[in-house]
Amino acid sequence: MLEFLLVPVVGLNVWADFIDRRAAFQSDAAAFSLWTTIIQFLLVMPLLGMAGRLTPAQIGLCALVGAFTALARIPWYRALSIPGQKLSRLAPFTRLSSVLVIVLAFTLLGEAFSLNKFLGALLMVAGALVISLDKSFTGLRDYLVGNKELLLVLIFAGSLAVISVFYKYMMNAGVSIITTYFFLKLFQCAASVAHGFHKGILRRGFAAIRDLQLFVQARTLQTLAAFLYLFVLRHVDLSTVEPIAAAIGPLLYLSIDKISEWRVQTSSPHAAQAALPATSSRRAYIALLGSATSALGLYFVARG
Amino acid sequence: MRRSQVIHEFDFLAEILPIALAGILMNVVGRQIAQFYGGPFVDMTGTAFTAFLLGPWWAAAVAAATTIVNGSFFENYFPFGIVNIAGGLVWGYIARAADLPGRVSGWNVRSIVRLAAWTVILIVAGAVTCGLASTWVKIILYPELGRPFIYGALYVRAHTALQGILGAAAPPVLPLAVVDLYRDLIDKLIVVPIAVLLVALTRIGPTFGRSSMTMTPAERLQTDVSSILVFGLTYSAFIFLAQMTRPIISIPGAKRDIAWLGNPMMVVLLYAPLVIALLAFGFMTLRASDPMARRLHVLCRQRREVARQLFEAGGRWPSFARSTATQALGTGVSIWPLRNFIDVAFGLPIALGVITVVLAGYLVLARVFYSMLQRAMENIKAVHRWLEVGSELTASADLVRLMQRLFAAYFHVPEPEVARRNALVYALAFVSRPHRGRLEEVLFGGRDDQVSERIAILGTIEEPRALSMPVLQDLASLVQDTGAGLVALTCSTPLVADHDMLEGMRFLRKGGTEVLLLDWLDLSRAAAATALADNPHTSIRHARARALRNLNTDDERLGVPALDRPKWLARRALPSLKAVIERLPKQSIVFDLGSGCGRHTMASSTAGHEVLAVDWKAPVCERLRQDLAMLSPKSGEVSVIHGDFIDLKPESYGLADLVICTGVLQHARNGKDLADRLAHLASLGSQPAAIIYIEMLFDMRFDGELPSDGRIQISLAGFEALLRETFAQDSWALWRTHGPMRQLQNFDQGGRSFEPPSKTIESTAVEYLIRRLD
Repeated sequence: MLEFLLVPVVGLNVWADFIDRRAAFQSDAAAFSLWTTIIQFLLVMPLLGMAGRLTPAQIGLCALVGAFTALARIPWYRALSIPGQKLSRLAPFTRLSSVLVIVLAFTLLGEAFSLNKFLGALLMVAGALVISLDKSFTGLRDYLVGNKELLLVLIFAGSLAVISVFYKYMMNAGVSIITTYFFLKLFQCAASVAHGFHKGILRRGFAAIRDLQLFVQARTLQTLAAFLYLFVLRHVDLSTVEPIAAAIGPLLYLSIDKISEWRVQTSSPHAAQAALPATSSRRAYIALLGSATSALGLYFVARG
Repeated sequence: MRRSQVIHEFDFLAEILPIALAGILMNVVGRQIAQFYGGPFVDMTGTAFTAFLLGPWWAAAVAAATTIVNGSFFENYFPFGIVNIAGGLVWGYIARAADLPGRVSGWNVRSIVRLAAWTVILIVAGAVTCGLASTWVKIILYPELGRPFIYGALYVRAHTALQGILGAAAPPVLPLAVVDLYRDLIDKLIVVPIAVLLVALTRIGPTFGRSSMTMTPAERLQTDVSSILVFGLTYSAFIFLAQMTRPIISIPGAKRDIAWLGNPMMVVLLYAPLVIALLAFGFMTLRASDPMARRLHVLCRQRREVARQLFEAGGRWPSFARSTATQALGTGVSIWPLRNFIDVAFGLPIALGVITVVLAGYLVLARVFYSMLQRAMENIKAVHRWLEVGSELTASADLVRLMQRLFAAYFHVPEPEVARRNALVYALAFVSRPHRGRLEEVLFGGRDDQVSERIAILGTIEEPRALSMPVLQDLASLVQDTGAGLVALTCSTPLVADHDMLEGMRFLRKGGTEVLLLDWLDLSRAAAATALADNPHTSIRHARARALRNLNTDDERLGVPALDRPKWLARRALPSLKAVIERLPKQSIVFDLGSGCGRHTMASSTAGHEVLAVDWKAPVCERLRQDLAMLSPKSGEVSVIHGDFIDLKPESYGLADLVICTGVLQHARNGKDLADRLAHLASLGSQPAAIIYIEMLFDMRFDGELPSDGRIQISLAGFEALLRETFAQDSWALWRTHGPMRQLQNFDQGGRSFEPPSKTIESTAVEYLIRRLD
């Protein structure tokens, strides 16, 4: 029954992403990332007593991963703040992290590489490519310029993959998940503060977030989702949890985007027509096909 | 208007900081008074004061900060920081909703009655909130602590009374909650009126109230986002410092100590304020375009204006003070926060705040220093413990038998037969295959050495226990005869300095035989560790590391390059004494009396202590001064005095934390001289916890001859009787830390750490550690 909790877990994360998309609009991406890590760290502070100790090597690794993943948030928020971006278009690219996880797990952790994983990875890459074809283009250069936000998301996907592999590595080393989670947040916060200090945004950063309320709401939802996820993981195998979570996500993004478009159109058809570019049926099919392919790929990957 | 400006309701320097600091001071002082006189805790007056003036989240931040300070003094305080925070939040929200500061503006009957009514409401609300929070903390912690809910006279009385009302079915949690409510009610009956009176009497309240009257209750609850963020940071600091300073708690009546921050329910409870903070943040409706934000800004300016008027109209200050302040204000420099020093309404909290900072800083530093001292003393106590245990064990068995026991336990070899080859007394042990891994792991640190099954020679050297060339030759032939792969010998010379002997040992090692030379301290430590924890690993590893270091060092070291001399001297310090020196708190005062070339002076200085070295030989003092010039700049200060230590008066040089007197007292001329010198040592170390370390040499032979310089001839028993006479049992603890150990020292190539009067000196060495108790 605990598997059903994954629906609210994914739902909360998707909800947080939609809030972030609104809050990040006209906000400074670096400030957004800085305060995200600060607030997330404040929210994990009560776990300090449950966190165990790390060896110097693990601390060093944690610091590296923390720094990379904290800084990799900036491109993500930059992509989110681009006007007119749809999460249903960006989300499948974040899930490319699963493909990177397979590669990293195979090369760094020496895990097995199965046919299912290979097929899943191919499907996910294909799904992501299909989604990127929704804009018309005349050549490769035009295609890359039109999809630059997807490249930013790819960096973020890389950081997600590194986090997954890092968790796996720490679990293999006998470190509890709470310890890893706590120290990762600590070093993410430290790296962001150092970056903020370097960029001189520590002071003005707070004011550079367009909507603080929404911002804090998103952090709360994300932390809540993380705790729920950790709770589920304590009772259910990762191999069961991952496919469910992976398959729900992209379709949820697509559904919410469609529902919100439909709501805007029904509530004020004229305003909607003016505000939103007309979505051709071809684009809708492409989005659906791409998301479904990604979800199927994720399912294969997670089943291993 | 910039967004960062509109999220503040109060001016941080002029309004928040003084009030918050005054609040912390009130809380800290209240708790200290309660500790001294007993009765209610009275540690929430400042929280209430801040809550009434600044609102819930500044009060919660003050409560968290208070917990940090008080938690460093009181062992069980940290978990109950939640109680203080809960009280601050409830008082703050009630005060904001009711505009309490605005209600204390007048002194007519109606306003006094209204104020009294609100005071009662605040007392009851605070008592219920804090009582319940306190009970909740106890419900979470007590089962893990193994402490019953009903413990102590008050709880028993409450339980009996409740049983009379509810029958035997009254759950034990109920009296706990009732007693907590009762205690908190008494506490809040004191705390809340004081805070309300302070708000009213200092005239800060009216200033705050007058300005906030133009806001609706809903608006008053929705302001000051920054207070929540500051609370978040303070709260994190509270948790962090709790984990760093008080991770383990023990409550009276508890069966065990617990790591309270690791309790999952406690973690959930710790999340409660954060969840409330997030909900409160969600309530904040401030927008850059919000008219309320602009009004807040205007209100802040209005309060400043009221304060300015108070200052200008004030006639309570002497005219020169006012004129000076006016001149200062007239310089055109923006010193707005300083204006608040002028009027008593703001001057009082600022003054209290400054005192808080100084006092809290002092108390925290004192606490840190005390903890360091405690840790150092614990360390020294531990050293004493193993010195004591090791001393007993080494005294009660002959060394070969002791080594057999140790190694039998360590390598799992059956007790072998003791044999003899000239001065070498040894036993052969066979390290069998099943334990090979253990041997490798312990001796070779997990290296992949191809260690075959090996024979070990465990032994010692007959008195005077020094390793010599004949012994080494015997050892080499024994190794050849038996094919032994490991030699572990106890001797008095583990730091081999003789070139030929080092070559001999290297030769053995090249042939595949490890040679470990264990000194008395290694053995004593290993024996104590075996007796106390069944684990002599560290000691044996230490011996092996030293042996390897010794063997692998270039022979040039034997010439002692000038730059290494301080380090080289420090390494020659008596092992037991070195252990004490290293465990003393840094910058302790050490008197090295009869320092010689300064091995203990160097060891003490390198360990960061301030040293006073005294020796009666002028050339030795001069050499020591030259060597001191090569000490690292991080080393402690050293002063060298040429003279007899009996002339070193405490009135001139002060008292020492450690008095070292090694290899000196045997020079005493007669019993009276010796007694005088011992009494003088006692006077130099007469402060509490001071240590006096003495090495006494008996039955000395110089090149085999009895001493001819007229020095005292005293037996071990006679000397110890004299020690007990000088260092009375009720004021001094006395340990024999080493020996009696017969030793032979060769000085063919000159002296090492002192100027030898002959080529060989044979003596029986005994070391004593004497600690002042009162």
